[in-house]
Amino acid sequence: MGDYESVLNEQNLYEELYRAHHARVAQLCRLWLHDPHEAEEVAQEVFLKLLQASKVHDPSFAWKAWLTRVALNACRDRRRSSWWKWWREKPMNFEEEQFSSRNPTPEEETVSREERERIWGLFRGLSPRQQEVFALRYVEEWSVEEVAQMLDLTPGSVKRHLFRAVRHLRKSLGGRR
Amino acid sequence: MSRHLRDEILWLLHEGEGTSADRAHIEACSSCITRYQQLVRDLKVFRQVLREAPPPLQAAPQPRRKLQIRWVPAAAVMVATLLLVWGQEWLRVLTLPVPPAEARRNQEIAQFLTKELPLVLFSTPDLSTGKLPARTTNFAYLQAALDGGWPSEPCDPARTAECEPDPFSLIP
Repeated sequence: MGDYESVLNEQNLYEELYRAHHARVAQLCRLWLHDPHEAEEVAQEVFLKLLQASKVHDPSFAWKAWLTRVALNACRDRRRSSWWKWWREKPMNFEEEQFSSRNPTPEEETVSREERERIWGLFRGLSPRQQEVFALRYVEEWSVEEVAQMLDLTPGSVKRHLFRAVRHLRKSLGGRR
Repeated sequence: MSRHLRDEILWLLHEGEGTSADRAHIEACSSCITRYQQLVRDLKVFRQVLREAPPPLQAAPQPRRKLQIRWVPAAAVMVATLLLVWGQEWLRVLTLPVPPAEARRNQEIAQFLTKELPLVLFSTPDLSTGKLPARTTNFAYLQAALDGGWPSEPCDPARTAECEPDPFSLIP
């Protein structure tokens, strides 16, 4: 009976964590991998690891940071692999709507499609480190210290990467303003 | 207000850092506050866009019709090129001088076909060039038969009055 309750608790914990973090982790993978199909694969890998880890750790564990670190390492591994580079060079077509989890708000509608494509394109042009820092700080809204701890950097280094990324994005988009 | 704040300082202020002098400056300088507000708006747009689904990495393939239109001139050029090459080769073959040995052989073949072969196949003498004797007698037939020339036909007295008596009738 005790085993059954334990399995049930693990299952509940997994489902709860999945609901709370899947969209966030998937978006991070899309930011760091560029190819949404592969990002989905990596996100699934991350939650497979979560399924195993949820049997070991209790609910009070720092799951958010753990999931982010696992996703970060998985994306780095993919980026390092040679076939990933080859795949990245291939032209890819996919439907944007396939990955949209919700309808854009009126405020989001104000940003034109061309502008969104341009911003994504510029973000993809950032260095991997700048992408990691920018995503954690501005998309995930982590503090500079949390980002530094996650990436094993000093806060000063995080700030430098952040400012360079912001400056690059703004400078490149300067023509539209 | 002789010097405006650098972009880095504006960004640090957005991050909750910067000195009190910088804050005092930005509150007093309309140019810097405008630039700061623009920075805040830009970061808001970046956040908003990067939280959405990414756009396609490449535009969708062109419709098939456009591809066909592109291939039509290419096909036309290819056909024209092939025709040109073929025509040139054809003209070159026509203008080539015939080698003497080949010409002589062709002449021999033509002579054989037009003169010697009909003589072998059609051994009857040419009636257009031959000339029948004006007056045919049995003797003449006999002589012709002996010479291997005209066929020896007996003279029919009913057909011609000038027919001489058949010499063969004398032979028992």
